[in-house]
Amino acid sequence: MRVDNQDIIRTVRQLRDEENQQLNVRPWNRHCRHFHMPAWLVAIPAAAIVGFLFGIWTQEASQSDSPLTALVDTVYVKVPVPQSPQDSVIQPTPARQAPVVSAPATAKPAVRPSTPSPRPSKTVGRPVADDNIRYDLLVRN
Amino acid sequence: MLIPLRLSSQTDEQLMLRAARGSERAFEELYNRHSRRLQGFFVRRLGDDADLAADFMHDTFLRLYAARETYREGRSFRPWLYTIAYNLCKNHLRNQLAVIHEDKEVAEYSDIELDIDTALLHDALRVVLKSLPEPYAMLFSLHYEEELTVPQIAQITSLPEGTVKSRLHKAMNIIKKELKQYESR
Repeated sequence: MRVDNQDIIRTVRQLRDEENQQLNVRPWNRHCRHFHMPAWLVAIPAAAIVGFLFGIWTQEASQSDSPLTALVDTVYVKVPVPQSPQDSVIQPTPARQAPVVSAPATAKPAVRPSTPSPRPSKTVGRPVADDNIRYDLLVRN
Repeated sequence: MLIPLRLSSQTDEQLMLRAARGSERAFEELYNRHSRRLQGFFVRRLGDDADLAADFMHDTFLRLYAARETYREGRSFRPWLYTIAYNLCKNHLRNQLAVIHEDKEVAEYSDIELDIDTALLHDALRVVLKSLPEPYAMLFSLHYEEELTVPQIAQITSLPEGTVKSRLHKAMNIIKKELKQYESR
């Protein structure tokens, strides 16, 4: 059979395809990334491990404090006590009943004379503290 | 305007542009497209050493990957890929490529007529191509096996287009001369 350049080229490409098909080509992942997994698949277990370690650490910290608290049986708290006991003690007084007053129907309603009531003074209130400062006034003003 | 989402439907240049902008999948698609053919090129050029060819193919793509950010729009992908491959081959076969046979030796053969059986041509060509001297073998491979154009080969090899054409012509004549031995067997 007569062979020309086109026959040679065609056969050359056939040979090329046959040889290329037999090749074992490595995947690209093997070249650049030996191990690849999604980021979330790494982040979630990592967060769980960090949380677990943090839990262990806090538990150990509380256990190390427990011997100190075990030594304390009673906690005494100093409570401020009023200086003069008379102020806080209520004196018992006998009960009094007001007398019944009869008045005629025509009579004008009695007007209760107004008694001059002392205006609330700023000086009235809590006693002066030991350091002579009126804390109540300071607060109100 | 519709943007093709499938990477397989995109051209090499579009994929390379995406790879240059940081797309790993685009580069992987390019690798999947060209790795087998490039490895075959190395197998034929490096003397049937499959492991060495696989390493060279690997090295070519790693170099391409390292230089991916330098890719500019409009640049042809395959000539760039084969420029890297050609330089790797040239460095490996430096001694062989340095000895370029004088063109006078093969200039005598022209318009050789062949009459060979097709089945025989297949086997004969396999043997003849292996014995093709450099640099004809390289140019023949780039043009007829890898289907790169003469201007692309000229760009890859830094040779004038006229030189590439004449050497390709001479390569074909050498092959025909060798095939002549298989005639009428």
